[in-house]
Amino acid sequence: MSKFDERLELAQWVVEQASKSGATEVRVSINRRRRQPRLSRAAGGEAGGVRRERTLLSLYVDGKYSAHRTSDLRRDALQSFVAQATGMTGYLEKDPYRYLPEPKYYEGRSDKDLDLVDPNYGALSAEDRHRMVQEVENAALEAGGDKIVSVEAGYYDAVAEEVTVSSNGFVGTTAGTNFWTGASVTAKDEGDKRPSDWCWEGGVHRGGIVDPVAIGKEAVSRSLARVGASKIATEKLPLVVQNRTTARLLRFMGNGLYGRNLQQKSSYLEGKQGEQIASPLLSIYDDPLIPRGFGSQLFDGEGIAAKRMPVIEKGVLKNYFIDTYYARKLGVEATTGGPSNVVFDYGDRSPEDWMKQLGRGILVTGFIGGNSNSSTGDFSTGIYGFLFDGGQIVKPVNELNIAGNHLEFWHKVIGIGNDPYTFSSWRTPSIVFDALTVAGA
Amino acid sequence: MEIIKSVSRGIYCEEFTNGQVEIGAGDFSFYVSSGYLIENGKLTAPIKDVNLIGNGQASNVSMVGNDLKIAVGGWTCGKNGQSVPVSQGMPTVRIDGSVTVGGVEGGAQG
Repeated sequence: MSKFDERLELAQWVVEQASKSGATEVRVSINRRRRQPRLSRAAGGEAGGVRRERTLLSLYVDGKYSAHRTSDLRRDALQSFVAQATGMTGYLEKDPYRYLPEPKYYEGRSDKDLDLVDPNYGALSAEDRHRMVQEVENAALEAGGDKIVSVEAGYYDAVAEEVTVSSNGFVGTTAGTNFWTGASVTAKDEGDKRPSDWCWEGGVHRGGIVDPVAIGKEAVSRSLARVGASKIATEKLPLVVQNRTTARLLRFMGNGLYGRNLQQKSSYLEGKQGEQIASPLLSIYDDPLIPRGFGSQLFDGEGIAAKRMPVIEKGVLKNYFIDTYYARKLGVEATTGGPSNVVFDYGDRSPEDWMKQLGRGILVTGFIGGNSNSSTGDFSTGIYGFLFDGGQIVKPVNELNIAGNHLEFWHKVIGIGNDPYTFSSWRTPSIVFDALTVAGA
Repeated sequence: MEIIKSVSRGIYCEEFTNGQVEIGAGDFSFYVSSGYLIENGKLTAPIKDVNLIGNGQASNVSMVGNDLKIAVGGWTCGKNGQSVPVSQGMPTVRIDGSVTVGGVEGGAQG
């Protein structure tokens, strides 16, 4: 019997034990993870691998709900654990909306091969991992020379497997690997200023790490580029927000998309489904079925069969992220509780092309602090990056701030880059905004 | 309070929700969830959802109040798996100079 089959059988057995103990419904996951970090000396030195196996138990007893976890997978230990957990659930308050997903949501599951496991994971040796960190670190130290203060290089990989069984007919297994390497570099600047920046790249397969030397060099050039940054006077300027950082703005906007905020009346997007909330250039999809995607899955955390879902299409709000619990409270159909892979309709021009066309503007390479009010859509956040003019970088800038309301701000999108960021489940492009007030000195 | 009276135009920050400090570069950012505009030494319009941004080396504390308050609640500081409980608190302070207030109509000097 394979390891998967053994764990499926164990999960099935736990479901039976819970039912015998008096649970109305139950859902059991058994997962194991192994994570292997290697860090350069400046980043804290060698770190041991972490291997973990545990059982997660969701119990529904007469309208009451509780969740439990244990790392003791022996049957006799599990038996008393389940009985005690079921008994304790009886002390809680009833919540009539809390029960397992209706089985219709399990139906229609894709059988697509998402290619989430690198078959060569087991062949990696300790030396392979160590060498990767060394390559990144050496490349960065060499490229930075005496212009930098320190390099913190690292490498991680992980393998995870999970089986899930529920008492109302859900059975699912997942497995995945991922591999990461990169560095953060701190540069010398005037006085005691020490700006830093990073570059990390990876993939679901080891091939996602293309060139450790290039990664080390990129971390250095990003941090050196921030040396000498200063603020500029307040000015209305267009923004080119770099692909790897647009997710920050999108997360601010996305706060209004969740079932919890809709039900709690704390979403500025309540009642806006079907309305134009952004520029027609903006189309955003949740796509769980991308081969080798960091967020790919055949079913979501509740077991809802995964499918591609438009969130915003040509600027029109199409769907919210609503799990079964908030769907019941809101009296609507569930979609999925949260994003898997976030993809876009990408444009055909690079950020460099846009910078040439826009004249004077800011290339935003990062955000600092800030927040967004999900009830009103108001937000305000610090930005840093580069002032550009006629396609040329003029100088690094920081201590600047942008603010607005999402229901106006996203109408200012005038361009979507051709450059999805591939090292995240959010495959964000660079996004170009028409002139807006950039608050500075 | 004398500190408020001393300000001709500024903002009085009552509550922050979050912030970020780049300890190397000295850049900081704090989000004001509630406060007031100060005009001619008086609190006037309530404000919220604005972000303050500046650099530690450039900002100036010019007045310190006599109203030290230790925050209610416990925090911990730690690294590498070790942590110790800490308390924190401060009096009202006046900060002059180059803090950018990020509202919707442009910047103002704090």
